[in-house]
Amino acid sequence: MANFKISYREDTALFQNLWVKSWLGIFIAAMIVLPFLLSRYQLSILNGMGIAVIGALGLNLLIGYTGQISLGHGAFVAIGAYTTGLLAGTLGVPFIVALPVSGTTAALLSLIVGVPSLRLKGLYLALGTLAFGFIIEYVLFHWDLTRGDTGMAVPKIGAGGFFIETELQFFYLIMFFAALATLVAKNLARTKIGRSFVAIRDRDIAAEAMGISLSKYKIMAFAVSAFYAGVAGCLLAYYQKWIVPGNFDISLSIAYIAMIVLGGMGTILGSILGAILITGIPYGIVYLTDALRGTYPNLSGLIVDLKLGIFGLVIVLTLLFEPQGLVGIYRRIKVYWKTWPFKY
Amino acid sequence: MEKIIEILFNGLSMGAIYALMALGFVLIFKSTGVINFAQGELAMVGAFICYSFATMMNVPYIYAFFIALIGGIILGAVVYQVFFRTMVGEPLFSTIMVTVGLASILTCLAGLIWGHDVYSLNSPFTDKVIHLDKITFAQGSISTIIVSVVLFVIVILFFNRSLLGISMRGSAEDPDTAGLMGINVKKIHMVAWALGGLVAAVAGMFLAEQSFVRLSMSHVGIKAMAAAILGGMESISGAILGGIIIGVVEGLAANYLSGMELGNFHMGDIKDVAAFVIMIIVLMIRPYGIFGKEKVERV
Amino acid sequence: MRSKLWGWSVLLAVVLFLSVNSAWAATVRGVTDKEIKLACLVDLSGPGKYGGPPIADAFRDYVAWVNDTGGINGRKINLVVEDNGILPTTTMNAAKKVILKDEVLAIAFNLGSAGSSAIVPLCAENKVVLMPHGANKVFYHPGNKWVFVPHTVQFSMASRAVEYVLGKNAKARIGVIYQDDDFGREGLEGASAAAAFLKTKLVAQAPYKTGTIDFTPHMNAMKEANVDTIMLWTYLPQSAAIIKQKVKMGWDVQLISNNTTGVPPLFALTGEAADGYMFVTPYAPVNTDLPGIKRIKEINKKYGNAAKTLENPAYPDYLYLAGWGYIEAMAQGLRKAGKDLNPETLVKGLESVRNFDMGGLCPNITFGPKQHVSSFSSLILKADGKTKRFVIVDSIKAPKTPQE
Repeated sequence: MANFKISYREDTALFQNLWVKSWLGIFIAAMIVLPFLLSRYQLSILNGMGIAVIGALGLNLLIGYTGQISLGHGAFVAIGAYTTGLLAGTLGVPFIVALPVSGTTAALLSLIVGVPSLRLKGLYLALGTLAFGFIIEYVLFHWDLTRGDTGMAVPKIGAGGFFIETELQFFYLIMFFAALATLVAKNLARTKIGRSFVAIRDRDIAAEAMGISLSKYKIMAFAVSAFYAGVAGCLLAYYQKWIVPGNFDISLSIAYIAMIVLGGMGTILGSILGAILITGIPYGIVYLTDALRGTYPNLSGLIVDLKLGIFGLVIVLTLLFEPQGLVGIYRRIKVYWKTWPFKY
Repeated sequence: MEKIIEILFNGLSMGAIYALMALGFVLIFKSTGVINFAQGELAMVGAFICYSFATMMNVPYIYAFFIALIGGIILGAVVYQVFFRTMVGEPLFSTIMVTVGLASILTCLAGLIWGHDVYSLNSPFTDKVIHLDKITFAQGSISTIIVSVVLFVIVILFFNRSLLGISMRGSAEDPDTAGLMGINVKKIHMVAWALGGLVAAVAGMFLAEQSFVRLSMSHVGIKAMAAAILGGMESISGAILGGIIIGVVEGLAANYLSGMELGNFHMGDIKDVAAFVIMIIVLMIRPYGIFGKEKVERV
Repeated sequence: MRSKLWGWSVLLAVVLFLSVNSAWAATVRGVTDKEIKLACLVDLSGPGKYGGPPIADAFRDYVAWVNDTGGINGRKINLVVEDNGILPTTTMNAAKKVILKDEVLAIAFNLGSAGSSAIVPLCAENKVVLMPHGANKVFYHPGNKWVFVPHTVQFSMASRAVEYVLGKNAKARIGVIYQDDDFGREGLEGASAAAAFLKTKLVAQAPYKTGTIDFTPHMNAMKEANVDTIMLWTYLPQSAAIIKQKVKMGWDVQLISNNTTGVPPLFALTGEAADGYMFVTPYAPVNTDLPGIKRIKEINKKYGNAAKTLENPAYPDYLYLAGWGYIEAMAQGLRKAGKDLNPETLVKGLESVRNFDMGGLCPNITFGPKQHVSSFSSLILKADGKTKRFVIVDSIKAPKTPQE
């Protein structure tokens, strides 16, 4: 299908052509119908993925678009979740207020790493954010307000007689916010802000020379990414109904990085694919072991033994054979079909 | 007075271990541009190899020590050949994720081979102490410090005097030009990984000697990374200084700050976080670490 | 733009429709005429792997025996052993899997306190009886309808340890080294409560973070405070490191700890230095011939792999006994629940278990509508460095310190 663009407006359009629009329509329809065909367990898997998509989008805006490395994304998810826990659990604040406040709190606290990021670069920034993550985890463990590793309860969403509590209801809620987050991210990426982010990533000194305020946009990138993480944390808190500091340790930060690296840095689609893959691996192992348990009990036991290694192996193999991530695979397949039967 | 000397001495011996680990980070990063998140796992495997020979097969400790060193070298080289030979020039983050994946693969394999228990590594120095006046020095700590110092001197001489060391510095500076000058850059990268594996194995064995051998001992890698950053990621003397600072600060924090109560905040064990707090403070003042040099960037 | 708005309004309508119309299954989850589905969540991967398999062994042996001898009220037990990987997040995934996918009636064991805390709301919402093995006070106090603790908790054991030490020597100076998390802090609280009850005080306390290997500062603090007994609320590696440190310092101080450290590897790690090391535990050592122990040894021999488990000198048998205590408590609840089995009758059944005889293996099990913890009692064992065994020095007793 030919795809010519005649105007700049067309080039930056959110949905580039009818083809994309119709696929999107089918996708939305599928998302509405799908939950009726799935079990509660399968819905719970999708819900986990939806929350991860929001967090991964935020991290990709920071790392993939702006080039600012953060190994402390889990800390911002924790800040969002604990803000929700304290607001909703202790003060009884409703969801509509708790959600933006959680995001905003995370964004405000992101200044703690955002401002130093003006001085720190690359690896030094990475380790600085890692340290920030450890310090947040330490505070959650040792402050009476956050109740140590016993954790705290988060009430249900809703008022009067109407509550969002089943997996199905959460599915629509989470998917709504995941879709919203995707739209906002996509919009952000095609505006001046997004282009400034990319300019900073590609060469920050050149960007500054062209009149892009480094301090403004770097801090903005941290704040937006933390806002996303805070929203993801808020949804996670409501969804899990109980939060403990152990939910947000370094493995969460690493998982988020794995999502965007495996999915594809600097692409919206990559964040989504990566979030689905990384969240999905443990469930894939569950289905595999259950399927093998009856016929090959030893093999299924061995897979449980190798669980950690399988996770590592998927990451390593994907990156060795496709360093651009899943988006790279997707693009290649697309190009292949577009040009078929020719090679180029 | 005795107390502060003991604290400093113990901090120094822990610091020597951090410094060895940090040295591994620096060696690999400087030559190949890869941040090896699996450095702690390499140390853990080194300790387990030593344990297999010294404790399980009753080989004399000194032989087991050297077998583990060779094991570390081979492991480092194999890791490079399998995972990183094709990863040259890939973005920093992809290589970081490969090392993260590698870390979980190594932990998983070590768990399969050696199990998930805690084991004791018996060296000639285990549980032996020297009393000097009123102060007690553990022999294990003394040997850790001495061997580390010797190793540091060797590494520094290697980089300043030997042809291989100088060509490593050259290819770290500018791989393309080094290649044009006839330096085999791939070989240099492999040597860097092998050296990284070697110092990791030494650190792992000393760590095991001071406590036990177990899978989770690899967590020390993260703190060693803080040490490397503290010193400036590209400086060998920085890694050594960074390791010592972190070891000593941890000792001081554990003795003077841990367990304090500040209103409704329990200080608890602040030792682990202290390393990172120090790192952040130093980075605020010197954004490229103590010995790191600011790079002049071209547009 | 208009089409997008239309899409969202459809979505909203569907959400509203669904929230009103929530269907409810008529059958009882995990129960048929022939079978009861139970879950056992333990670590089969990750850092806690050491603890998982022995617990699963006990569950499998018990279930094999019960099914072979007619089951419970005519129903056989279908056991689902799932890996929970110790972390709260992985535990949550495992719990969701057994509740939503396997549809079990109850979770008869979940290892790890943070993970157990994290899944309590999920269990309550789905009416799943949960038996956590974090063994913290928080699980029965204030308590939750669906949570039962068939184990003596850390608080009670710590009280018992301090009462024992002060009973031997009323002027003993006790210091505490504890892990800096809820497990350790609860030990400290229990010890402080007992000390206050006996009108004295703990003279020193030192926290450490999991993974600490250097205990010089902690032991120096103890020595400075001139303590004669150190209570350790630690796990095995830390206890072993402290014993080593004690030897290094040439300091003959009495150590008393908790059940998690009383395992055979203690001797492998510290040798004869372990001699005299005491610990509080709800479980009797397997080398005794108490009736309860004899019985499980017979069952283990017939239905399990005895050579690799209870007859293996390096086997961490207290974990096997812990698993046994849990499944026995659950089975007794199931029996009492009767033929009409569902989550509500199971809770009623468990709450009516009174003084169920464990034959000295562990304290007898009693639950009640207001008491969801089986016992406050524990016994005190001592390590014998020569024979590499643990011997009973004080039998099962409850602490006098108030436990609520």
